[in-house]
Amino acid sequence: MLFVVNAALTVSLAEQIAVQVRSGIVNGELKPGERLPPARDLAKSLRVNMHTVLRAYAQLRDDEVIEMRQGRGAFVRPDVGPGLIRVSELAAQLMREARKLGLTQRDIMRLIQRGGTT
Amino acid sequence: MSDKSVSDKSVSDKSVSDKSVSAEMTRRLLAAVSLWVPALVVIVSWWAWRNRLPTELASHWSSLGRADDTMATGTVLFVAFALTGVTAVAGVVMALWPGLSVRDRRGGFFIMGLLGGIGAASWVLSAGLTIQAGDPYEVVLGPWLIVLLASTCYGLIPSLISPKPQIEATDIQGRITFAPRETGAWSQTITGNIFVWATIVLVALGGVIYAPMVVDGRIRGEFFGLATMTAAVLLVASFIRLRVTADWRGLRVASAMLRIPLKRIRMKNIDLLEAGDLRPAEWGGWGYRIMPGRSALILRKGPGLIVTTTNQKQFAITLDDPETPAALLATLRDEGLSALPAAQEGQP
Repeated sequence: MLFVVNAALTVSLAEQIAVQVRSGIVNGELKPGERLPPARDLAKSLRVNMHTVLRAYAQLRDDEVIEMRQGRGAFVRPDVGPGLIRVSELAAQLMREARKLGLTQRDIMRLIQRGGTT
Repeated sequence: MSDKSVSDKSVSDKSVSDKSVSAEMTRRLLAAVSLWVPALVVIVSWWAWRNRLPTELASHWSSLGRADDTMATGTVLFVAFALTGVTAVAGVVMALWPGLSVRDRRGGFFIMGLLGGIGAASWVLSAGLTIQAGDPYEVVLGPWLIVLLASTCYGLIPSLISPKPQIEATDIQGRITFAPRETGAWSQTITGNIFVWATIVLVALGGVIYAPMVVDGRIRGEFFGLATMTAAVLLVASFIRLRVTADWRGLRVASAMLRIPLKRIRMKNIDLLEAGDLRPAEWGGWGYRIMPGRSALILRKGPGLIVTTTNQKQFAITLDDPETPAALLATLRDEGLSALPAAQEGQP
């Protein structure tokens, strides 16, 4: 898949890489179980710091999009699908918007539960 | 004046076309002539040895390299004459048959050359070694086995002389638009099912050959064979998963499993980037193919990227979406981005 990073954007390079991996899964370019490029290789290809790529991968791992296997690299989780990615993106967007409004975690949970009953 | 120019041009075009047809026919006939070489080798060697040939020739060798069976000299000679003669005549027919496609003709020349080569080499080795040893059962094949194996490659000669099939490919004109301080890289892991099967076959073969030796305790004497088999398995297995990368440095193919580079084309050496429908027959078959002036990683029949380097060598690799890496490489090459220092180097 094609990775494009822009150093002029305010969004961090790690975030840009993470977004593109998510987009790759949604578009079907990256399939469940597929191995991501080694962080060192991708960093060299994009001419960014290796820790930038590692941070992007760590973020994706925390979001349960990929899994890191010791000594083998990063893989798209077998149970991840475009639907899950879409929901994760919406959840992240919801959290950002809710925080802007000053809502607490409990308020957000209540809103989600109310959304589920309507 | 203009009529004359048009007339001159059409005469010139016809002349070029005639020359091209003539060159193609010359190559076809040369390929056919090369198929007469094995037959000539059999005839000349038979003539040279006719007074020294024994009644029986060594015809089969044991795994230790010593002959364990013989055949009447007349039979061996007849088989060699028949094999090389039929392939030589078939070569002429294939060269002159107008209905045969370029691809089929090349394949036919290869098979005929292979059979002719084996026929001539079998005769020369059987007769020559038997004359040298005196007794057919005293013949030891030894290093001459290499000659026998090499004779199977004779098919490459007529096949390569024969006109090349035209590979249908499209020069990639598309480019990726980068903003200032933006760059891109393309990376994909591809799986070669053909190498998966080849690895399974090799492992099974190794098991069949060496498992009984392990049980019998004879494996210590077969260390070299076992090491060779293990190396072959590792070599084939290294092609199962390949990582293909296109970036400011150029195109690279590496084994994803062993992490060893298999092919690297530097950006400055890239001349032409094309996407085409890759047919294994046009690139020498499946797998990693190396031919004069061309190499290819053919994992299946279908779309692929063809890179022509500045020294006019070609490399092809099967990819699902060859247009994207081709467009990226063309963009980076044309805009000279690969030569620029990275704007974001070191930036988190």
